Amino acid sequence: MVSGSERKGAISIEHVRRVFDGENGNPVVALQDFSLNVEPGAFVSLVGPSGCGKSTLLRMIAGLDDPTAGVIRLDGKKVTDPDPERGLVFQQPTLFPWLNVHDNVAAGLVARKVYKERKSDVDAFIRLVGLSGFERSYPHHLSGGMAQRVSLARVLVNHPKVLLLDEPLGALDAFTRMQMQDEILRIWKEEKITVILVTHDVDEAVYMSDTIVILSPRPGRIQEIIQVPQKHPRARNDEDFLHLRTRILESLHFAKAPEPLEYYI
Amino acid sequence: MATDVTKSRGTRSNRLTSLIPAALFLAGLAIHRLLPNQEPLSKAPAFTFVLAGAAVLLLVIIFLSLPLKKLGQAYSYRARFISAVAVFLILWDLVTQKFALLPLPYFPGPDKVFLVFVSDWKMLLKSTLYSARLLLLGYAIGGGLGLVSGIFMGWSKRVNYWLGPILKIIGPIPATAWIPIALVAFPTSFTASIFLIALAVWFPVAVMTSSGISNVQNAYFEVARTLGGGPRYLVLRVAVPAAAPSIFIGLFMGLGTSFLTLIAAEMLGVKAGLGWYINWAQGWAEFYKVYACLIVLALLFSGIIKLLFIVKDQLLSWQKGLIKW
Ligand SMILES: Nc1ncnc2c1ncn2[C@@H]1O[C@H](COP(=O)(O)OP(=O)(O)OP(=O)(O)O)[C@@H](O)[C@H]1O
Ligand SMILES: [Mg+2]
Repeated sequence: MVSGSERKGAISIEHVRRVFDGENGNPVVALQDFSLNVEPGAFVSLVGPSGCGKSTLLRMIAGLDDPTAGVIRLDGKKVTDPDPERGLVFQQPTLFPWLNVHDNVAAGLVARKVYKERKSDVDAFIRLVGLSGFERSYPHHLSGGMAQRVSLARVLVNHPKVLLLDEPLGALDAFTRMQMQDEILRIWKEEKITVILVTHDVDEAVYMSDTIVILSPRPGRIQEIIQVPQKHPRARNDEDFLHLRTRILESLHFAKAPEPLEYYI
Repeated sequence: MATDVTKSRGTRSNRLTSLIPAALFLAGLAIHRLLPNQEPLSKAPAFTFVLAGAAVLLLVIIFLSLPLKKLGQAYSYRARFISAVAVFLILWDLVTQKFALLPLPYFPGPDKVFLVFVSDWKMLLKSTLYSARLLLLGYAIGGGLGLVSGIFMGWSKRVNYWLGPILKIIGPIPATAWIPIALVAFPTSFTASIFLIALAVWFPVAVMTSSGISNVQNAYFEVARTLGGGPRYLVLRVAVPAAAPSIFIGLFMGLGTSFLTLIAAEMLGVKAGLGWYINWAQGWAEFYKVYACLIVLALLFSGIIKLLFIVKDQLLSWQKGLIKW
């Protein structure tokens, strides 16, 4: 399915800054001088406190939002607009309520006018996310977890080079969550895509990614970058795992330093 | 609800009560045929046929609902209402034909009214077809223009800048107020009426379409853009379906204004159609024809609304809890 030679997915984020107009005219700096290089086929997790600009960064990589300063490149080409080669799974599933599961998943193919040739992909990806039999269901009949899985399939059916995941598994129960983590890892390896995953779950970051980027509180900056050397499949609770986990939690706690420590005691 | 009631009661008493509506129609028939009349009955016994026909129809339904459970449930739910209709017809007959309590010719008896469907069916049918043609053309043109202008206004700020104020200022004028101008500005009263009906439909459809589209959550557009959707996809496959519930309300309101405008236009300018028929019958003081025509209007208009709701149920099955009909 993938012709390896042309398929890349190197993302370079160069001195990106994003300032929003705040409520009362005060500018809100969401991201400050953010630079990061992501190799093709890498699996990078972003962790950081709420409001530090993780979603904003993903939206800019997706092309939905423009940096106030700096550039984002995919394989050397500047990102300006959304493109199906950069798939984004939103924090909310945002399924089209007027389309059933099958048609939601097929939406990208219809939009790109390749539905006829690629029809069979739709069923394949519905099966992949474990929703066979629900093809004709409408979104208001789905649970939150099912809806999020549909939105994942809807992005995957486009075979993106880069998969941007904004806390996609937050709504799932622990069991489905672990299952989906393994599915995403499988797809990542099979399709040789670059994945950037935003998550609040440190275990998830350690279990899944090669590189964990820890962001500081707003304005978001890189606090620390941690490499995870372990090969997949990984154990979910061996010593290395627990060690890394502790280190990240410490770093995140550090990230909270501006708040008075006495408060916690 | 209705099914619970039927289940909890004995089937035997249920079968007896289900005969009440038919019995009432037969009682009405007896009263109509046996009591002395204040005015002679018509030669074609129209009301006799209506009462007997209703009774026979009800008996057939009861018979058919022995095997068809669904029909039986629907019927027993409606039975009390049908009984009330029968009582109303009996009272109408008594008050007019039998005891002449109401002044003539304004309040004719049912026999005279139903006779119109026999004696004047050609004229009624012709008028109905005229009205239906005018309504269909006007509604299609007005609805189509309303959809297109509403989509453009909801989608494009620039179009909204120019068209928005026009819609807001011209739109609220009832289309019937344009009748004098339309009648001189258009070559025929037929085209003038099409214009008036189209105008009446255009306003609610355009308003509801444009507000529906401009209220579509931006997140849907963002999803569509990241999936590779171009402008065409965003408008036709995201904005329009997302705004469909609102568009439907506009189409429904447009139906109401179009009925009103149709009748007004036909009463004032056009020389055909049901509105004209009412006027013409009134001119001859043939009020029984007016009532017959009102019955036709009720059936025609409620049928059209029913049709719109059937289409809506097909298209908006994904949505729960919209206006019920
Ligand atoms: N469109 C916008 N207008 C104004 N401010 C915004 C806008 N989008 C985001 N912000 C602000 O930018 C900051 C970063 O927001 P962002 O959604 O990227 O955070 P996040 O890291 O994804 O948080 P969370 O983990 O809670 O999802 C927040 O303070 C938010 O209020
Ligand atoms: Mg976020």
